[in-house]
Amino acid sequence: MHDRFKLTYFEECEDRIIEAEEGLSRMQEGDTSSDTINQVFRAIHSIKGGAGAFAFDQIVNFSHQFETVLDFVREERLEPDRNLCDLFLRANDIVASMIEMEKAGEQIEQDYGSEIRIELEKIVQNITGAAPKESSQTHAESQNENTGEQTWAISFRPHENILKTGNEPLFIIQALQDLGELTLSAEVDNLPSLSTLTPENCYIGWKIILKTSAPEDEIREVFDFVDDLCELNIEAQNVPLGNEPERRAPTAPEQVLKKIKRKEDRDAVENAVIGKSSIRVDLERIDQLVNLVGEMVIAQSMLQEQVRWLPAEAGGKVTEGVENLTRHMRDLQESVMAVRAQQIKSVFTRMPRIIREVSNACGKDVRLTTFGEETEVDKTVLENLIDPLTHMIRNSVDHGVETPNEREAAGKNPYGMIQLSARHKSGRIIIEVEDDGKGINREAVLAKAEKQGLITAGQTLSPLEIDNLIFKAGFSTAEKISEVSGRGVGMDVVKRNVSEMGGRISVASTPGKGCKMTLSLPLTLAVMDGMVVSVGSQRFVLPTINIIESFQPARAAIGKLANGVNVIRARGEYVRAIPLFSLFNINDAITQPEDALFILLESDEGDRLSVMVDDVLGQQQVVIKSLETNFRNVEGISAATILGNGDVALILDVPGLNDMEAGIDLCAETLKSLKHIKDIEDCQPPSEAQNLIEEITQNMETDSLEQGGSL
Amino acid sequence: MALTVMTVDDSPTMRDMVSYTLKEAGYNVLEAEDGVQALSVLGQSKADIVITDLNMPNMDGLTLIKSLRSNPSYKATPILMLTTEADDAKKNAGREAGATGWIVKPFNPEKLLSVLKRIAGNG
Repeated sequence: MHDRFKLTYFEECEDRIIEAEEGLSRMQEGDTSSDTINQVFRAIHSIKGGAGAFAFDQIVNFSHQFETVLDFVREERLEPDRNLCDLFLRANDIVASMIEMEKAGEQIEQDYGSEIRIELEKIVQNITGAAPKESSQTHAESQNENTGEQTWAISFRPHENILKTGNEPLFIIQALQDLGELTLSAEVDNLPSLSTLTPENCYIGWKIILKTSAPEDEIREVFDFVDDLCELNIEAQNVPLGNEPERRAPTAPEQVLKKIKRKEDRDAVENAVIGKSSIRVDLERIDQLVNLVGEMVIAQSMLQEQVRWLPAEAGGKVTEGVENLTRHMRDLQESVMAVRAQQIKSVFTRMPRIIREVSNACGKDVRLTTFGEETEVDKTVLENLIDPLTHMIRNSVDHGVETPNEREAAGKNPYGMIQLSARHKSGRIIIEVEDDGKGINREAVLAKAEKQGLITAGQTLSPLEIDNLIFKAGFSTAEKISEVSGRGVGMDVVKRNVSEMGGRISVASTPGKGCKMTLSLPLTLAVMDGMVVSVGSQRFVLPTINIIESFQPARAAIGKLANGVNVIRARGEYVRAIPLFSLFNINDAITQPEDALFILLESDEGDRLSVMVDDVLGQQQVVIKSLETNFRNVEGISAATILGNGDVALILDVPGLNDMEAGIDLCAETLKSLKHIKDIEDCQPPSEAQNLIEEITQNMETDSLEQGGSL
Repeated sequence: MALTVMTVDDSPTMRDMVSYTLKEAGYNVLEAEDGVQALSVLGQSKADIVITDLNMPNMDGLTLIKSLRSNPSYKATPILMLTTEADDAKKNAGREAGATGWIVKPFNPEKLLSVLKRIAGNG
């Protein structure tokens, strides 16, 4: 079978497994509506159907058994209690793993999942009172190898209503003709007079003599669909050593049938809403589209830049055109990003399985509730989210939630609760994992951090600072690396992965009550609105979302604390002031605070700070170029971008700045290493702009203090 | 003129396979994910043959067959149902709804084509 179908199949299976799991989780919570049960049944049914086409026999057999039991539930012959739902969830996990194995081209062991399978078989046995049958997928037809030509006398008398089923005797006779030599005579004795004739009825019958080498089975197959719609008699004229093949007797368990029918009718009425139509598009094509739009945003800002220098009489129309272009560009970019946006549901639905695995392994009982599953986020962010979130959840189950005994001793429910939620907040997605476990053991964390040399003995830390030590490199509080959350990866790696995509992670713990981890990520990794500022000859971009205001402070508003931290009075309160020139060692910048501009910023967590810059150059949409793929991660800088004049500028990471302590001479180094991102763009900027880039880059390299081309 | 076949299945894998097989054999193919969509597509374009899955969201196959049969344009159109099991209960239910015949999944492409020929001729 074609590989391209396999690919479609595996893609479909991923969705189906999630659908089944979601439905089963709802069933577990007591939702036994036919919609939910049908959703699960359909998912498994489709998986089985596809598996049959690719001869994934293991999957077929297992899901057949699974489906049979689901069907009992559908027919209300079996009550879906918690135990049964648990079994279903485990069965679903087995199907998922089998699919994974097939996808990876691995051999599935013969007895894989047999434990669950036996349980399912037992249920089937109990209900039907029969020994479990092997899957009925093999429909090998026992055929007599009969090569000699034979003559058959066939009497075919269709019932009057045959045409109403879409069966056309003419085509059936044509199909017979394909088998051999045909002699045909019509029987018209039933033909009524014209006045009583109904044109939609069939009144004619045929006597057929067929000379063919085809076996009887094949002849009968032609009449397969009209078995019950005609009087049919097939006889061999010169019967050889004939063993009459059995006719399949149509048995109709009417009661069951009626029940199913009634149910399906009801469902159909309930579901008779207009379905949304959609198409599947290769993600690669969308990514390409997103990249192209990114390049166009850059090209457009270059154009906008050039238009400014046109003489007024020539510029008017052009400027208007460019402004229109800018507006459409933004709409286009938003539409394209919306195509790639997906609900976070697809990640959330993976979590129940993780919780089951981990809680089984550590003998805990944990239940999950989720909120905001419909929150949308860019597909690339979503993909990058799976690992950190999985780890956070594992961590909560393994380290946070106590065993049932411990919980009861502490006066809590024997089962732990984990709440997983997602929401949008100021251009970011906030994901929280909150458990009602024992919270972070601060003494253990402190002791461990001291032992690992992360802090010095006797250092005083606030409870929050202690909690956040778990994100420091090389930290792990579990006495031994447990089978589950260990895996050699600590929360420090989670934090690093998260910050690599411009995200942040923090923790808040209440001893004895529980622990909440908050993950904040940008909605997209492609573009953002930024304010371009200059510091000496350098350009920086500040995310517009973090900006409150820019201002020139009076001399009196500037101060310095005893510990050397610069502060500034803004909106009635003192906030930390960070002079970017000293932070990044830029020596051609304005150094006197009273001559400079300050920009008041607020991080997503609500911390305020301000940065000192030379000037504000403008606001624009910038295309985010990842630092880690082009260089490496730098504290205080989240990414780079290309400005309208072709210059590379760094995008500042506001909360990161807040955490920085001293000046770091990384700005020049980072910029130098990023030179190549301009050269690898598919879309080359116009040559004039190209010259400008080279000029500026050279300036940078020779450490020239000249001002580069202004924006 | 080539015959037009509408394939209705909520499984993209099945739709893909049916439609690939048919297109290779020279049929025109229309696709729909469920009964509701099928009805809406069939309201705009005419199909000579309909192949439908039974268990689908929104509108299942039997309901689709019944509503097609009540539409004068599709009163005698060959409608095949694709089923996983070849059980008689399903066949009878299909027959009662007005199905022409059935194909058991996983289908053999040659078999599908020969069945189409048997119910709709050579076009």
